[in-house]
Amino acid sequence: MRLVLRRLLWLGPTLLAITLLTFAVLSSALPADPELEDLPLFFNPEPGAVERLSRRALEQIAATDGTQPEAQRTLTELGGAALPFVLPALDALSPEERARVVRALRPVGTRMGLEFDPHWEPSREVLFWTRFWEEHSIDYRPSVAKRAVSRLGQRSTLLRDTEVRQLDTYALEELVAQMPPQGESDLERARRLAQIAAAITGEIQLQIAPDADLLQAERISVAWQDWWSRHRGRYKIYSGTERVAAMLRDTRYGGWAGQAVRRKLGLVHGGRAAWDVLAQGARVTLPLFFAGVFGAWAGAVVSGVFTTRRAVLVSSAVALLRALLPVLVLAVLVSRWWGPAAGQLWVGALLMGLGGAPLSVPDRAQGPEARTAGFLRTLAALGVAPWRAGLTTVRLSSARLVVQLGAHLSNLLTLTCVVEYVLGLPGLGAETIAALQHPDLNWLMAITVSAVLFAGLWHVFGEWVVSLLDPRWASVASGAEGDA
Amino acid sequence: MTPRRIVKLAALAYLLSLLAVSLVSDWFSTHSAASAAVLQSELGQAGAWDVCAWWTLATRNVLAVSATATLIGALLGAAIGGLAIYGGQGLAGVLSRLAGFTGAFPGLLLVGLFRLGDPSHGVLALLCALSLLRTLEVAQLVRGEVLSAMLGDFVEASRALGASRRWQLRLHVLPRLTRPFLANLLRGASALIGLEAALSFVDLGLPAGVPSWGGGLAVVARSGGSAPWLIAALSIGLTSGALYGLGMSLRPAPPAIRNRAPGQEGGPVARGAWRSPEAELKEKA
Repeated sequence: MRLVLRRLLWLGPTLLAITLLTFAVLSSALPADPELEDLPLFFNPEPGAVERLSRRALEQIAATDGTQPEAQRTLTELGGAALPFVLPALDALSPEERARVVRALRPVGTRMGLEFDPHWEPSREVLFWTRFWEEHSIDYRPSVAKRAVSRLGQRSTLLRDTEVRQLDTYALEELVAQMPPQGESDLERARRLAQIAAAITGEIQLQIAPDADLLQAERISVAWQDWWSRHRGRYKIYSGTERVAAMLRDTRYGGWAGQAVRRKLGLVHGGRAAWDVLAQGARVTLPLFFAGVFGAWAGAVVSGVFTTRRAVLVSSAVALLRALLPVLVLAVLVSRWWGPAAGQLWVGALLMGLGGAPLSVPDRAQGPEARTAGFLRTLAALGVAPWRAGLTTVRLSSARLVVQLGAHLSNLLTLTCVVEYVLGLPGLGAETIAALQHPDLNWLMAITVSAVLFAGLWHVFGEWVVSLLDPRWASVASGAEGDA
Repeated sequence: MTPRRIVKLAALAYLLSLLAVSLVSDWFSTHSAASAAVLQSELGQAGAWDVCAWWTLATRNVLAVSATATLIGALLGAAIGGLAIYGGQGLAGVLSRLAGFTGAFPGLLLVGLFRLGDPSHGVLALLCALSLLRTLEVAQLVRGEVLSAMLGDFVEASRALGASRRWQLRLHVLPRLTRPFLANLLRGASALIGLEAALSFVDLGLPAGVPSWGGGLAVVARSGGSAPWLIAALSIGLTSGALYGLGMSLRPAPPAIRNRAPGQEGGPVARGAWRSPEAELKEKA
């Protein structure tokens, strides 16, 4: 039991290490998501860039006489979230610099629903923004934003709508957080919030259509959460424990992990959730895999029961024959003979059974059945009935198989993938091969997580089964672990 | 001649002939009108000479990849396995965890990920992945065999007689390690032939323009052609079988359990013949 617990405890770190490694490889190999390429891979030492970006944009706009399209674009994009850093800094600038900054703030003000004089008068506009900040600086707080969005959600009035629009991007976090609809009756609220969020960000495709049902609204709401998880770092400033969490969360890996949680391991080609594709593919892959396990079990039992010299020779010959007829060749042969008719689950299962059977044979000369033979002699001397001795052999052979399969799991999974691919079966192997040929980060991460979890749980299950079938293995294994 | 010896000689002869073929592959390819890439991509419609040229090139490539990966795996594995014994619990634990990590990956996925990480998508990634798989297996084997030999009574006795560690390793451990090590290398090479063929079949092995048995099999499976199909399938099967057979012939002979008559010397005790000492005493009394 101690071993089982130890295996279970190791599962978490193993999963984390493998996903980190796989993500690093895939991120270096695949073109980065344009929205995420600025983010560090695993650790963000400076999360929450709104203050830094705002001040940089302000300095660039103020310092340069000519136009600064990049800085102006940044300031427009940051919008209301940048105002707490830009407007208080106006006093420290010269009149010319102030004029340049307030000119750059015009698009933000227009988006916030503020009315400007069409005739450009710098001093008047500076005065306008100064007064605006004197009156509204108190509104740019998280609690106020939360209340404003909540009030707008309850009922839409012009005043409430204006309140949220004036907060602009500062209200985005609350808009996204409060957006998920709670039921059919809540659709109107979600629609209102999505509409305002779309108006602020320009993401007009993320609006909830008037005739949308609950499922569509939920989908849009999740899309907004994805959007926010990718852009959060640009609009927020963190402090305390939230900052520490953001150092890990506002990274490319954090972004993947977040959407994997929200989107059932992420979206793969065709917009389907990876979990759904996994569940569908597992209906083909798991039967094939367990056919291989069954083949190996049958092989182990046969080689365990028949221990005469002739039986040893026969099992060695079978192993040699299997090496002469690799599963790939067998599968291609079957596929060539039967054509499309070969693409059936039972054909694949048969091939896997044949391919898996010899997994239990190779090490039989050094395996425990040599010791088991002495054990059987003892049983016979004790007057145990042959059928009971046979059962004991099956039990011990099964225990040996479970131990051996732990080491051969990778081979068996590879065999399964190849058989699926050759026979054209719609399992996980075919999907994985397609994802490797035309790289798909979400699918490859999903299949990695699944494979690691499956292998880990198989090892745990194996330890438990072995300790039940043959207590001698447990003591040997605990000794080995102790050595390690 | 025992069957074991026949298998051994046949396998050796076959492998040596493959080696000879791969040595003359360049001559075949220079006398072929098509380039290596064209030979593979148009294998279904190729003439006898072109098929021959393709086969020699594919043989050379597959043997080179498998032998290199096996060699790297053997050297690194032996070094790591040895270090795991003398490096204390930490290194052994790391080795065990590493083996756990790679064991969790399907080989296909591991090779595919290595391939994605290699900007050239070429042979280097394939070699690295196959070598890694072999290295960890060999390292575990070396560690296990050396540990079991070092714990033997004979080693303990030689230690008691004042033998040095080096002497024990040379005289007791290395001779006992050689056969299982070689057998494992040959069986591993056999598995690598199959794995490489499977990877090339699904376009994840050797690059598309490089002839290989698996790649050729995939081309012929798609476009047809009996002779190349048979050649590719036979090459994969026979090479894999020959290496496996050679590895099997190196194993110690299986302990024979003869079905002798109960009570006969070396045979089982007659059914129900065992008596506990107390029962025997009672019977005598």
